[in-house]
Amino acid sequence: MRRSRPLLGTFVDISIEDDLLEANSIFQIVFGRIEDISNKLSFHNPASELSIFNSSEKSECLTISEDFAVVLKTSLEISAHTGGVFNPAIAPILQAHGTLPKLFQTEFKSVNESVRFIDNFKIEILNSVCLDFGGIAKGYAVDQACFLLKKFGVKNALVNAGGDIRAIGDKAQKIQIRHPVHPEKIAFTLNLKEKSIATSLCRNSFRGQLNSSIVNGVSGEPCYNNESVTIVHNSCMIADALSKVAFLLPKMQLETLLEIYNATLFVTETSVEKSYLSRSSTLCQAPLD
Amino acid sequence: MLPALITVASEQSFFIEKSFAITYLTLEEAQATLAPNANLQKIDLAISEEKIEQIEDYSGISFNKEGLQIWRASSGNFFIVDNVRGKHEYITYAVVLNSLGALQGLEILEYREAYGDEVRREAWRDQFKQKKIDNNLELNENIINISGATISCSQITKGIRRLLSLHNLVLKNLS
Repeated sequence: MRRSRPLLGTFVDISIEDDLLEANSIFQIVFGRIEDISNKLSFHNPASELSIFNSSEKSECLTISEDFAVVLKTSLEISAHTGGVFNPAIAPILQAHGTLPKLFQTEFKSVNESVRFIDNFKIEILNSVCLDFGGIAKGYAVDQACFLLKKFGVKNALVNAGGDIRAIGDKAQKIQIRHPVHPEKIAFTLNLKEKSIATSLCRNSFRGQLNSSIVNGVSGEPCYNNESVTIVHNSCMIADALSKVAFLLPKMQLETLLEIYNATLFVTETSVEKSYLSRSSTLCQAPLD
Repeated sequence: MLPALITVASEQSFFIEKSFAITYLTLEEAQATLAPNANLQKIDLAISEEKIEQIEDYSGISFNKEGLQIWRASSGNFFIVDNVRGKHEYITYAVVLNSLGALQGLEILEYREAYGDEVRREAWRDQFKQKKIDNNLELNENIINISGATISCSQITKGIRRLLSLHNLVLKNLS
């Protein structure tokens, strides 16, 4: 059985392969959990936990939910591993570009200099900062959905939140990766078994303007190119976050990052005449014709 | 060598998917899921141009009476099937609104994507009016799980606003 709901700004598609009488109830509960995460971490929702955080002042201390804590802690960790290139505090830049609505008046700064954990669920705001978890929250929601499905005894399933995907079970699932420039074409396919993938690209059209939500968290510069990157990892949250920085890091630093997280990278490049698929094991390019 | 759990199924790529459709629920399944035992009676919607204009103003999208199917339950709830369209996406969905117009349930019934000349073909468009799939059209029925450019759900959000407005202006006043 397969269901889809509009959540997290996109469509969340859940397939359960098992033949279960209670499948309808399971879908309802799992979508409910995703909606709960979306409500907490939404930049657009003025009542969300994230919006409360974004409205807070320097020196304020906040008690946060487990969902917020996990996503923030992971963001700080990846930010540290990437020298600040992964930075959820780029929201002011995304606001200026129109990718995010102009809801908060804050300057762009580093997340690691702006918030610290006092204990597991309490944080101190060191500098007034505006966060957006668009680069990691979908992946986190997919992981949580899969944990819940397993808790209900589901053996084989797939959760797809706008292209952030996790497969659970023995059955390999066929995943089609869109061409970054021609979305009606499929660039390549992967068979996924008990793994997650996330794909990011630098171009997206917003009200006719070319925008990029791939922004260097140190320089504030957006990245524009015709590539897409697909990260494969156990965790969809990690895959999601790493896919946002793969464009921005020099080769050596990227290889180190992939090794730290034991992640695999696929790059789909397009040039004038040939298109390439490269794999992280060698980062060499093989032409596809 | 790639780890055993990850295999590239096909490197001969860049094949074109002209269109694909995913059916999540049939109409009957959607009614059973969202409005079980509801004793649904179909409504023939009569609506003035003035009301249509108000709904379009509120929702930000055009009002398409042909794409709408409305049933009323004995409880006073409404079960509605509607369609929204993005640049390349066409989505059929169902909602339940209670007698006060609050959203009680939502399910996507069908999601379709098409590019190029396909979307301009009369037959491709007409299938959605008739809620039937014409087997002569090029629909890819293979299992589709796609990663890549994110499809926004903003159109369906506007569609729901359209239905909430319809309830407020028309449905709640039906005898």
